[in-house]
Amino acid sequence: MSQTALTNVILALVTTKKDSVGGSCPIFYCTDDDDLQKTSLYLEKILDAMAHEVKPGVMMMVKH
Amino acid sequence: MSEFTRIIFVGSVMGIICRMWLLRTDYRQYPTYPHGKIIHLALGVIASGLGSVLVATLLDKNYTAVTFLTLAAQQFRDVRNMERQMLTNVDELELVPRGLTYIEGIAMAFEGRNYLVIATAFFTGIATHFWHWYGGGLVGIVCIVIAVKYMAGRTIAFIGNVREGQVRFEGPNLFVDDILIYNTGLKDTQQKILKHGVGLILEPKNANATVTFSNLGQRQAILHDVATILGVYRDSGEPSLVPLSKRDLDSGRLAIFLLPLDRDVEKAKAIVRRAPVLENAYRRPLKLTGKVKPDHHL
Repeated sequence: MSQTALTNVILALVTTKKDSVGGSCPIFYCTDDDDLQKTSLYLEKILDAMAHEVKPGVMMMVKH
Repeated sequence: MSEFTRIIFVGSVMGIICRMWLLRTDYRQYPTYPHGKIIHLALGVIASGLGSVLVATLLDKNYTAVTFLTLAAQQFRDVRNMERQMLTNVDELELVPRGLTYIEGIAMAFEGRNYLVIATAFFTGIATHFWHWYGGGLVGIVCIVIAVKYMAGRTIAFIGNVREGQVRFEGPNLFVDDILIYNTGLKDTQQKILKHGVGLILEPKNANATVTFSNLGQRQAILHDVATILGVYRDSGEPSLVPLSKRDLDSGRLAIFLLPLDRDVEKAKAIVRRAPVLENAYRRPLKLTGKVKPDHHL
């Protein structure tokens, strides 16, 4: 089974801090930490990507 | 029974026994049963036939028969290609892949073993000519013992010490002792890792081992072996749960992060100790003569 996928690319950002993110990739704004964890978990399962915490309140979805 | 018949019979039988002995399927379930085994047994029969017929033809002063061996060598090289292709294809769908270095090692072993079978049959045939069938049988047994004993590779325990390391998180970063493995932000994943994860530290015994442990193929082979025996706590679409190995660049120690289904540290340690040192990964910088060699304890 050969699979073509974008790897090592930021697929999405999830954050509670609107001011600390920007750019061209999809950004999901969350209300609090629980919401952040939940959204990141869903995105991780949907995108088959890994959620990395860059700093408190900012998660980055990367497919490896 | 004519002498040639005896030579071919005894030589072939010892060659086939040698192939069967080297073909025992162990925990890796490789070669696969039953068809993988049939393929290699059939090739073993051909190889042993070649080895023993060679003796008969040489005694008959039919020296051109040696050219048959080149044909045989070509055939057995194809065995290596076949094994390599099949394992590479199958590896794509493994949760913890073997890695190309391991695959090359297995493919090489399968080619090499056929030559061992030819040699066993050949020497048995010669001995049968000089000392009747019992002399041939004895030489055949000696050949088999040599093949089994000296062709078995080294294990990790020979080049490194294995001890347990503590799996812990510093913020989102996963560590085994003081070596960073990766960053995972989800609390859910972190809890799973703390519950199921096993950390091991591999300390190289000397500079040879340090260089060998730095080989990515060798490291993948260790992870694969543990996952084969103890199972693995992951599935497709779970990219955060992945067994991984990372090096401490200063000391050359290797941190191995495992996610076994059967979370038993002692078993995991024993399996890592028994994992094979891959022929293609093993380096011996200490063998260099003169002053241009690394510190013994690099």
